[in-house]
Amino acid sequence: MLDSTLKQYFIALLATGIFNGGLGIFVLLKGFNKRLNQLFALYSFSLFLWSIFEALGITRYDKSLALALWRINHIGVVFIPIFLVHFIFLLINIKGWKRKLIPVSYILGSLFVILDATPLLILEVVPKFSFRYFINPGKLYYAFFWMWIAWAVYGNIELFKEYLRASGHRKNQMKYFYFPLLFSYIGGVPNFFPTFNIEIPVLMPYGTYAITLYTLATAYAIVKYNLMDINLALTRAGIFVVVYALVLGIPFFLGYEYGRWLAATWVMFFLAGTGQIVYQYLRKKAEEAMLREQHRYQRALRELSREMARIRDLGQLLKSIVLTVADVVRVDYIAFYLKDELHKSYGCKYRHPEDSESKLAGFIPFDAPIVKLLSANKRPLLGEELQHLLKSGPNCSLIVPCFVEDELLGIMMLGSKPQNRMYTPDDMLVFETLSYSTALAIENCNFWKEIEDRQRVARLQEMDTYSYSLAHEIDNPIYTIIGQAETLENTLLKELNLSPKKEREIKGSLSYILDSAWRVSAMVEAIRDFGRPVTGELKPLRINDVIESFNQLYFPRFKSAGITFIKEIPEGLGFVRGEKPQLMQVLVILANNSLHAMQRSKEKTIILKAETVNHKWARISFRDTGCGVKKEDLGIIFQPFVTTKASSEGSGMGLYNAKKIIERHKGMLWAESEGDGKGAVFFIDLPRTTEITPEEQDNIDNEINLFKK
Amino acid sequence: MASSAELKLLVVDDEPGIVDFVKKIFTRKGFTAFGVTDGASAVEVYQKEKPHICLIDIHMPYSAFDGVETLRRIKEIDKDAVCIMVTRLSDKDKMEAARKLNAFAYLLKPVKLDQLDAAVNLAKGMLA
Repeated sequence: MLDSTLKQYFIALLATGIFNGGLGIFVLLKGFNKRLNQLFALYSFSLFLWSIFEALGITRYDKSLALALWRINHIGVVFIPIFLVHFIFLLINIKGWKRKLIPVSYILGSLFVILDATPLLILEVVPKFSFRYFINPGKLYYAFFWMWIAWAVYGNIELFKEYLRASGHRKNQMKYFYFPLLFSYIGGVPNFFPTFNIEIPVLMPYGTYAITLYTLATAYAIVKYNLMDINLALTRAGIFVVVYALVLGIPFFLGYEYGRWLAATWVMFFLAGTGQIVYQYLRKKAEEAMLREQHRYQRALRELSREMARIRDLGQLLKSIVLTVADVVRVDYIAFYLKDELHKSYGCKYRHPEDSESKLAGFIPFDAPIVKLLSANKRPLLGEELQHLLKSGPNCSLIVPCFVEDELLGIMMLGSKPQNRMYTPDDMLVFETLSYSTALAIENCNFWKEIEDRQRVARLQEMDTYSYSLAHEIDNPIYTIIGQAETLENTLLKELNLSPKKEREIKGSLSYILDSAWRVSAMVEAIRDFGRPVTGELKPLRINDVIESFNQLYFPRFKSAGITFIKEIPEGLGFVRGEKPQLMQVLVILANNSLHAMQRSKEKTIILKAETVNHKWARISFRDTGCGVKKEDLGIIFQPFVTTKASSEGSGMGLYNAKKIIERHKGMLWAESEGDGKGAVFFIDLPRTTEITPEEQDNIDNEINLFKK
Repeated sequence: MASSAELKLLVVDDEPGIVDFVKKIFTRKGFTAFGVTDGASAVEVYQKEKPHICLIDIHMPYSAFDGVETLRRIKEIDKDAVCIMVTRLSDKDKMEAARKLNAFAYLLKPVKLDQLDAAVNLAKGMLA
């Protein structure tokens, strides 16, 4: 029988060995190809070697066997700090000259393993204190000891430095890793002391348990903070060990303590039968608990992905992604930045909540460091990583890029989770999957928009033809109304010989009919002018006529939109060479823009002004009291596909087309604005013309027209 | 100059309401007015009545032939027929065709009564 102190040593060392060996195997199994897992396993196995062979060494009666066991034990001892430091280097990603220390440490380690076979390291084994055999140091043992200590302390220091540097999720990983490690070294190092004939009471047998504790704490860190992504396997193993320790332990205890081996056997049979059920039940419950969050995420994500494929409108898509993620992850803010080729940036297209504006940039330029970083990494990055890699950067907790092949289509930025909880690797995985489906959904939307645009253009062309022939159809009834009313007024009424009062009354009614009919007629003419096929032929036009036709066409719209429409058009502005429908279209485009810009304005006024600048140029200006144009946008609004309207409203082609038309008329179109909210003025300068052929003159004058013989 | 009583006027328009008021006006001015709503009838009436002045709407989509074709056929019957065409400014091509076919004048829709009057008076002057 072992005496009680030796028994404590034996049990503590055995437990340490079993726990570390088991942990090593698990870590290795879960990441057989990963360097980090391999090194952690090697470190665990070196601890296993040390503790098991020390446990055996101190309890042997045979001296030569004890010496052999102690020498095997020291192979483990030699490599404990070497594997540890190597593991730490990999964990915290140490770079530069320090990495050269690793091969040096392995060479030194191998040297000591060779020396371990000679009396230079372990001189002999002798009975010491309560140990049956313990070692006496050889000549080089002190050198070995101090190197061992120095290397272990260095490893601890590097890890501690990383702990101070790290934040968030990683800080917790480091905390659960570093402090137990320090603790285990404080507990483990005294195992050297008996070598030098020092015995520290309490610390010595019980300190060894610290190494077991370290193993447990590390296992906890692995489970809770996903140190090496093996939490699920470790939990299963833990439950298995606990359940079967009881299944085998209770009968063994019964037999060992009370000598009732028959009863113990029955108990064991019973427990073995139920053990499997208990194990399965506990395992299921534990996995459910561990995976609940993950399942919730994945379910929500699956639903979102399914929905995404159905959405064809980009605005709607981004809205639904942002709101769903905000709901599932419960972040304090979230925003989606969409690629905007024209502004060479990623513009913030949707954010939640609305008032998170202050925390978020309006756009991210293509050449921003964050864009380069995302393009290089192509995966979601944590806020801490950003801080670490960029020094300065967006102050968010998670950033998720959406790639289709090599093109970064969008960027999702997320604030922190409730109570500042960290984003787990599960979250990251979910976001990575989400980013792929989002990128595809964006492509899908762009594709549909293209098709819809084409269909809309086709529909508009049809409408064009239709309205043109419709104008003709309206013509005849209107002409009938006008002609009949005039006939009534001028001819038929006189034949009735009514009293002057009655005649005045009837004439009053007739003049209403005539006024309205003439107005409709003028509008129809304007529609026809506007819809007339474009020939490309520039003919002399009265500027006043163009404006008047536009007025006929758009006055009803301005009226229904509650807009005060002021015309400052002097008579006799002269002529320009152009195509009336085209010039009208320019005014229509400007009018539509103004109508849109003034949707939320309190004061709604449009001032249409025309003047002659000099004998060469005429100027038409179109001023509104709408939201205005940002200074930096004044240049780009005339480029194609630029729109401030919601994606379904505008093609972004209006002003581009307007500018093209004016350029074809050898004129200029430009905009001025005092800035956001201060309205805008669009100027059209057109060259005046005085050279008009008699034939052209004929076409302009349209009273009574005799054909030339 | 022939008195209005002896003058015959043919009104061609696919809109009966228009034909009606033009007839009313010119009947009161002493013309003998005929009205038709399609090109074929116009040629028929012209053949029979030989009216002095024709008012022809150029755009008649529901007629077998339009105003220009009507004009051409009337001119085939009598190359000196006095025809006033009624049109929209936008029917440039048809107006040009009418000019080539030797139409007398054109009026733009919607025609004001005094313009119509003036044009017919001019045509009367031609006849004299």
